[in-house]
Amino acid sequence: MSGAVLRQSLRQVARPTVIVALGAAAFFFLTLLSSASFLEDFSRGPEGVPSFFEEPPRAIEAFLGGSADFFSPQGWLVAGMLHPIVLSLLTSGAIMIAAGAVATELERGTIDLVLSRPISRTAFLLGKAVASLIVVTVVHAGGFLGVLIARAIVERVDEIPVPDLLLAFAGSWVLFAAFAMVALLISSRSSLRGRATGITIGVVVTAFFVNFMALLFDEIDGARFVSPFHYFRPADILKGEPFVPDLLVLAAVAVVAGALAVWRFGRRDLTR
Amino acid sequence: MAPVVEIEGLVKRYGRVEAVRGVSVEVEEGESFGYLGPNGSGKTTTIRCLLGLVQPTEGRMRVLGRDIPDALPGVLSDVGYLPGEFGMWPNLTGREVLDYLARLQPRSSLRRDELCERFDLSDRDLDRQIRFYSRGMKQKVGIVQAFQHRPPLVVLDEPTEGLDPVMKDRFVNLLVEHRAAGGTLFLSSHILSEVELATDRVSVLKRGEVVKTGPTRDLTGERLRHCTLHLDGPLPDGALDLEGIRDLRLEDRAAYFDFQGDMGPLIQRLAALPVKEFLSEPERLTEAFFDVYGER
Repeated sequence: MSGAVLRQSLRQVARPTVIVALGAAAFFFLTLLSSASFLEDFSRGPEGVPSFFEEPPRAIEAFLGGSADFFSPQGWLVAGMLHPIVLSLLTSGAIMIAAGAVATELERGTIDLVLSRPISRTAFLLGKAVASLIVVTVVHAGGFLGVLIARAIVERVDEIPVPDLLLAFAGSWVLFAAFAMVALLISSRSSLRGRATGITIGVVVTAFFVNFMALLFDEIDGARFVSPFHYFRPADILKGEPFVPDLLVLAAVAVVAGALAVWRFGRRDLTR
Repeated sequence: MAPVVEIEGLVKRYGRVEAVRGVSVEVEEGESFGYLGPNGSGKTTTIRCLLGLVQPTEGRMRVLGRDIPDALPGVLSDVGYLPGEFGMWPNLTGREVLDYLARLQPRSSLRRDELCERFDLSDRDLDRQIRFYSRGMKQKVGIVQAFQHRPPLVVLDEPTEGLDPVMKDRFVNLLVEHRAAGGTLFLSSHILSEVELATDRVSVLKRGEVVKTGPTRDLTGERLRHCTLHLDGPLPDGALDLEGIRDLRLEDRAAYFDFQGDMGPLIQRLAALPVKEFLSEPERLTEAFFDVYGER
């Protein structure tokens, strides 16, 4: 791996990474802050709670990854972790470097200057891959920090044990690490940043909706297994159910996509 | 001694398009070699194959005695390269670009300060972000990064694009110095004047094939001269009936002709004439190029 490529890649995205991380922190904090008001209302008695929240429609459950619990901080955290806004922020983090790893350098004409020096293509791409994983980590750390702040300030959020929180964020990290490596694979074949970014976003959105539709319609229930989102179920993690095999599937996706990216990049012509 | 650059039977196809068709070229150590051809003739593709940026379809290449692409990382530490079309990282300063590229290169950037001074890249310029640079400024940074680590072999693809005449002159001097210091130069260009000034030998490329290789001077001065003769008296009949003279045009006390071949007999013949002025202008590479190329 090239340390120079790693540092240069991080430097290029330092500011947007911090902004996205702060966005993730703010989102999780505000989600849990708003949960406090709901939980306070509910604590006055079950009479006032609309049945919508007690038995949410299946579509809402499917949209939130298969479980919708509005009566515990854990439920709100799960809803936050699978909310489209946070998914957008985490996807931004995952593709910020990865989708442009090769495509941007080719489109901009900088790759010739770099790869005409004694650095192998594998070392170059590994530098980009590690930089991408660092960005994913920073954005998740931002989200985690938002939850910790909420935990310290907002009532009942401290019911979520910190180790469970860490595991839930670790699960999300593995999911978005996998998406980052998919973005790297797409970029390793592309010469245009816009195209690589667009295809990667398309893959993430499609994966999300395949899981959503499979949870919604019994006829296509099996389709959820092809979506990486199926293998990240924060509700199960927070309930203490086994999750390691699921995360191993996501890790395998990341490793295979990364390996394919290295293989493909090593064999392609660097032409625009 | 093995050539610094050896290309044998290089073929590069992009789908059905054959960009390079069986190119064979050798460049000796210390030689300044020109690779000539119009846009799209395959110059850049050859260079990109040589540096491992594109994969050749067929052929064998060696640089500094080592096989390409197997020994590529080792070879590239001894090569300086200025691409024909390159970009830079817009939010880095010129200095940061040079630092980054230097970190990717194990050889020390011994010449950076001297080169920046030579190409008028002040500290103030180097501390500005690249996005504020003109085309010429970027080109200067490109030249510095190619030479800053004092590489034995420098590969330049259209190196003077965007440079003003003063900088072009300084650049040609840099090439001359590089060669005088024992360095080898592979210069690809369609700007014939810079090839003429800076190279010993050229290959002319046409639609992916080398159609002519030879010393630069053979393609220029010694090949054909445009001659003008002014006399104090009338030109005697048959005075210019001499092998090598062609396109003779006589005007009162003047003669205009092209001459090709050994100048000795012509000089002897002129010595017997009442010559007032004799001008012999070597054919420029431009003309030789189009002569070889067969089209304008």
